[in-house]
Amino acid sequence: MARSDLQGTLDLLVLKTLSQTGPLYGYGIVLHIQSASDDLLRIEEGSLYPALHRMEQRGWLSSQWSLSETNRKVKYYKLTAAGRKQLETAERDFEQLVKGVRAIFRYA
Amino acid sequence: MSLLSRIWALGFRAKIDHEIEDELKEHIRMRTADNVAAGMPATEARRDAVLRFGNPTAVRERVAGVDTALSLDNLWNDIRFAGRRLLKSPGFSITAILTLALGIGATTAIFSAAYSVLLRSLPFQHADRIVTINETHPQVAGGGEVTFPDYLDWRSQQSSFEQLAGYSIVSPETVSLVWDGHAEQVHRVLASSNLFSLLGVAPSLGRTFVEQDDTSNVNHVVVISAEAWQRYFGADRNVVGRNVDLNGVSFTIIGVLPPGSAYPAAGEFWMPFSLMDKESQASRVWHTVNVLGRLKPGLELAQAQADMQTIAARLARVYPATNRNVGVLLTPLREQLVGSLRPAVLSLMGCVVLVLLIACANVANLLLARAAAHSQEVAVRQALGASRLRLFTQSLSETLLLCLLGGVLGTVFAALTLPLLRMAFEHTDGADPSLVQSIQLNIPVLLVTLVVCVFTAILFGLLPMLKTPRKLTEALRPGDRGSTGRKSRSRSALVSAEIAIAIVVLFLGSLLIRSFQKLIQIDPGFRTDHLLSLEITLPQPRYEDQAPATNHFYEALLEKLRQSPGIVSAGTTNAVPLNASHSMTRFLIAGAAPLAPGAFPFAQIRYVSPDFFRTMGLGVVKGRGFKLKDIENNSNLFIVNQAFAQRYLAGRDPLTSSILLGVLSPHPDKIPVIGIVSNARDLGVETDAEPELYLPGFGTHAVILLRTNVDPVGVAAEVRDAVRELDPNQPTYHVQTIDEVLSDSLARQKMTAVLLGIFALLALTLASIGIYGVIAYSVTQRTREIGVRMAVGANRKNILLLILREAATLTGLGILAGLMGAFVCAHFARALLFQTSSADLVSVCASVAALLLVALLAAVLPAGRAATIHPMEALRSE
Repeated sequence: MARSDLQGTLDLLVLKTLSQTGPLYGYGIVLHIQSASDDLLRIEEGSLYPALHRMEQRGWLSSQWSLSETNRKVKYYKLTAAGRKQLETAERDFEQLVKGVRAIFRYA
Repeated sequence: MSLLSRIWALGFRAKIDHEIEDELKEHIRMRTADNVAAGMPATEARRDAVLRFGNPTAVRERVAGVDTALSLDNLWNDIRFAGRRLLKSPGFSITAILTLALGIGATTAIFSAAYSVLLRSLPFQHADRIVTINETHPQVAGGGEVTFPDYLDWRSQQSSFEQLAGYSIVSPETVSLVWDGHAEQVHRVLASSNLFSLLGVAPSLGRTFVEQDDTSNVNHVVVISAEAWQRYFGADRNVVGRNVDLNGVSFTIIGVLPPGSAYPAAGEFWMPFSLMDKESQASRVWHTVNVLGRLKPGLELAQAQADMQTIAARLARVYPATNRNVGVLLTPLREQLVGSLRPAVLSLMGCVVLVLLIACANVANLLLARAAAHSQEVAVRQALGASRLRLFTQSLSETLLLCLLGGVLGTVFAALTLPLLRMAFEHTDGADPSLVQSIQLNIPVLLVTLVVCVFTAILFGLLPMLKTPRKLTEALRPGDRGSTGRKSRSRSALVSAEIAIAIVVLFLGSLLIRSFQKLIQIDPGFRTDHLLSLEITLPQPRYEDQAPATNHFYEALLEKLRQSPGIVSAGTTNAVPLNASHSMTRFLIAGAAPLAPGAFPFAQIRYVSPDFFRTMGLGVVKGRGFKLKDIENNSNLFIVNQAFAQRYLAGRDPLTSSILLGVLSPHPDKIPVIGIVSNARDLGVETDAEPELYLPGFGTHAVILLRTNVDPVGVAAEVRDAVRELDPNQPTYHVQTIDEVLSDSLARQKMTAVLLGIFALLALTLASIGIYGVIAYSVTQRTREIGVRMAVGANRKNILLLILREAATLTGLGILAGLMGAFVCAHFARALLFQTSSADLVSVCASVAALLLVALLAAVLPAGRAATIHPMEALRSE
């Protein structure tokens, strides 16, 4: 059975965001998730950062300090090759999870 | 961020915190700004931003936690945890740390010696290609100096060396230096101009010799060692070009050598070869030159040896009278400098590694016992999600801490031992003093110690890990009988190995102690106590050998000394007793069958004063001793020792025999024998008394011997005063008691025996701890079994025997294996033994008995405890 939980879901959201937008800083990721989900998904913003750092440790992301559009120094995160692979796995896992949950709903 | 820079950053917790702080702050600032843009009031905007974010401090900690998951912080925590665990069981920790400290300390000390003596490169260029070249003769032990003409012939005929150089320490070894009103006796060396270029030594001031110095007549120049420069000239940088007075002749100092590059190491003043007296330069009789050669690159020692042997054979054909039977011996420089120490150092190194192994086995045993006791805890932690890696790093940090603490303590032990080692090796015949002084704790040695620590730590961190049960249920089952048997078997094997190693060390130790005992029991043939020796060299040309002025000086001096109340008798000779001497001569017994040229025998020869024999304590066995009149009349008379009489005068009446001296000249001197004296081992107690010839007379250089009835050191000052009264500028030197000479000459053997004895005791103690540990553990494990046995009728004696049998099995196996190893090791160490067989029965018995006794003691304690087990309690305990 596919391994999936809430933390895994947050990782998936971040990876997907970065694959769509390219390099982005934490606040930008929050905004993107919010707007792309039509404000349906609101994450606790602080909990994003341990996830970002953990994914960086695992080699899925790389980071770099540079200037934002408003000329502030911010930390940009970028998807690595390993991250792209992880995204594929996570997406597949998520699909299965959704399928499984849906099946149960139908059965009920 | 690359992995590397991340690891790098891990070391800087502050920097990481700072970066995280910046990142999070920026987030809140951006949210606040957006809120304001959306129309919120400033305070409201900020509150909302923080609300959405969550507790910033908590977030920061969590992020930092992620970043430092594998960091030094974590390791530091592990080490603190390990420290707490060690503190909780101080008995275990102290035993383990002390055991390791002894093992590591001994290894470090002996390795320092091995490193300096055998491994570290010599302070010369291409030192591995430099060899010493000696002449050999069947009658002269070892190789000896070369005659000057032979040296010149070698130089011109050889093809194996880039260059050959020579130096000469002609007797007397010292000359008197007069400088700024001081008078000192300094060591001088005559050297060929290329000696320093062969060694690759460049002067730190001025120049060394050039080729003209070998031949020119204006050759009164000297090169001095860095040590002499400091001692006599206060490290004056303007010393080059100054004139000094040596034996009454003015010399110009042309250069100063860099520190530690003196060769030979005892040298202080080097003068050109051309200053050697003309007679020695022309004679193939006087062996005065030490030859060094630098092999051509890629040339084997054996090839060069063969080349030189060919030259020697050619010289023997041309000059049979002097060169017949003369061979050549090539020795690598390092071998020449420290070869005599090699067997001792290697044996010590071997034993010390064995002791370290025992120490390691013991600590491994302790850790295994602990691991067994902790196996449930470990299993629970595993069940709670600790990874094997995590458990391993924790166990590793514990052993690492143990080993490092042991290492630090061990290094302190080593630092305390090294001065003793240096002292012991310093006086070994043929060991270069400067190399011996370089035996110190230095970076390479400490690095090796560190590697040893870490290596042992990893080994023993791993060992208990291998024993961690993989199956949770197995580990958590109470009583845990399933794996006990296997576990204690491996521990018993460890202890048997310990015992085997201990036997090897014990055996070697007792062999060396026995050998040393034999050495000190030897009667040297004369009394070494209450005997003082000191040397004096009268300056030439004011004094000459056997000249009236010289005779008068010594007669007056000896007369003065005799009047001193503490001095019983005073005599002179030309060689310090118990030191090796090459003061030898060819001779022929008058009336014996003529010999082929070159076949003349050699004997030691001494010039002595009349009271020499009485002072030494040698008895005149036949005939008479010398009288002062013999010297004054310049009569040539021989007294020979018993060894000489037995070997060369057997079947003759010694007192009517004569001996021919100067046998290579057309008119040899015919000298009558007037007496026979008892033998003395005056070349060193290890050497049998050799045939010796004594002539009456005083040379410019003399060794003054004083027999005293008070502490001999006390009369040294009187002698100095007496000499000064006769000549205020005349120094005396090498003041030493013969007991000192004796103990110096045995210092290496003594230290080797003492150290090996200590190692043997260490090995014995450690092995007994090991035996005790295993038996005690096995008794605890077998409590239930013992209970059952007693319940079905076994009595206390049966139980005692049961446990003792277990101890006997592992001890017996260990002893058997150990003895086999011991004989092999002793065979390799036989160079160290004096009159002791490498399979000495007494040593075998002593080491086996010692081990059996200790093993019995170590086993009786837990066996006794087993015998007092109450069967009911034992059965209930489950």
